[in-house]
Amino acid sequence: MLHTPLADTKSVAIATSALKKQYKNGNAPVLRGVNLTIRHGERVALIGSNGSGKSTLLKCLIGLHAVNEGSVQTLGETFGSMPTAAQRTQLRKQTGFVFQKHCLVKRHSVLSNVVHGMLGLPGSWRAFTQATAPSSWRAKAMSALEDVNLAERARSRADALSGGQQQRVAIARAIVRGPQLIIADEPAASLDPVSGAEVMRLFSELAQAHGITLLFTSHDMDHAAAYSDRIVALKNGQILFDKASREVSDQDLRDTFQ
Amino acid sequence: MSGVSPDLRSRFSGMSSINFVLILVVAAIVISSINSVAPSIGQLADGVPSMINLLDRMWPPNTDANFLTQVGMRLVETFQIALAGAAIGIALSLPIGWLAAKKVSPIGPASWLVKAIISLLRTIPDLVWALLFVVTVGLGAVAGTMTIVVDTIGFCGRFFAEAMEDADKEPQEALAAIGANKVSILMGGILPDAAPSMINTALFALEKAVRWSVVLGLVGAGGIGQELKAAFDLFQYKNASAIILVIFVIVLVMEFITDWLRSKLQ
Repeated sequence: MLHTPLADTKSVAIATSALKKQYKNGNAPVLRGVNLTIRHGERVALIGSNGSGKSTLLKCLIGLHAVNEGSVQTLGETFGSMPTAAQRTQLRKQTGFVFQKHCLVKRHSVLSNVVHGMLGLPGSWRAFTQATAPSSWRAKAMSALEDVNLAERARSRADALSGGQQQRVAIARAIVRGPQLIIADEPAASLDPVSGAEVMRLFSELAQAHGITLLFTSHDMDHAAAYSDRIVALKNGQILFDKASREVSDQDLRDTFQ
Repeated sequence: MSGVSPDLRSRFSGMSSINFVLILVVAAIVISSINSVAPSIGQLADGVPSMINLLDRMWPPNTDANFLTQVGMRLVETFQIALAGAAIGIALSLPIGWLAAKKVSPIGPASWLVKAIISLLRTIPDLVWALLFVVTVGLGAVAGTMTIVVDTIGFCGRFFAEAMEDADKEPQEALAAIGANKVSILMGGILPDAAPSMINTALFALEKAVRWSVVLGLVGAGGIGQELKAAFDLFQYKNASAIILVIFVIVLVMEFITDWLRSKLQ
């Protein structure tokens, strides 16, 4: 079924219309009519208490979870419940993911883990390790590692790195295929405050430098304020407020988390 | 004593009559089996002179150069059976283990069917497989190699599947989100994590293959076992003792090599 675009695809990276999501376990709906628009190149922080629907929203935007009602437009692909296989391929080509836990393959080298970012692209069956990947992909992976200041650790095993360094490798894996959009689910949550701030700064700088749209969730309000242009707060599956980061007040935050 | 409440007494109730009867039945079966087939003290005492006589006829082992050359040739064949059988079996166990691994298998819930086939391969004893292959492909090393292949799949298929099931799920989810297909997730996410356990299993399979390739000759499936059987059938006990010593050395050397490899690969 064809879906009408929700917004101008040239300027808008993500748009949702009356998005509803309820899991099959019979609990209350997780998302209850979310209308969200994010323009290309914006850095948006999604905040909210546990269970407010942040992670579910991220997964719905890229078709990892089916939505019950409403529609989604991500990077020009408009879909209802789930994207088609072709749309999913397109979305994954242009989207990078960073998870709360870095999710690296521990016994592989740092370089191999970054090369994994190419999996899913045509001809990517060779990218399960750097040794078998095309040399141009290895070069791109090295360039991504330079971006996150880890080129000198390319040959190290992933589990030999600190938590912050591993998350930087995950960022390199996300940017290696030159995505238009990066979605990050609490990327600094498992890190100490110093490493967390460093990872967020790197994220923000890379997004700005490469013109990448950045959508991340965070429980750290300092991170949300410092590394985003806009903050969107979710409460009970609905948008509580959507403001420029500098305009968010203490009262807004109290309303969000109480 | 009267202070113990009925509630507390019920929590420490004795053995139920059904359990008591079951224990009696199991004990009766074990005792009757021992009576039927275990050697009595008298039989053991009667057997000692025969054993001493046999050992006397076996000593010294035959060290004739021609005989040892013949044993050496059979030894090479034994190793070939073990190596070829284990290598083919391990290689086939990789896709079979993948198909059988729950939540990882590309065929989804049908993985139980592959697991059932692996169990079938494992539960039929090797000597029975050897007899089947001797009947189907004839006497000799090919039947032995096929037996080792089947035995290795039964062993490695199960443990490879378990290692894949136990592999870290988070990298797999990350690769799936990136858009990796099932083969890429296997190669990039599952195998690197499962590799140490799988290499261990493969080394045990190789060790097992050497041990089994030695005895497969007893049913005509090639290797040094065939020489051993001939030696006993023809009452050439000095030849038999030489072959037994060679087998002992081979198995010991193989265990030493695989232990060393295991320690290097950990």
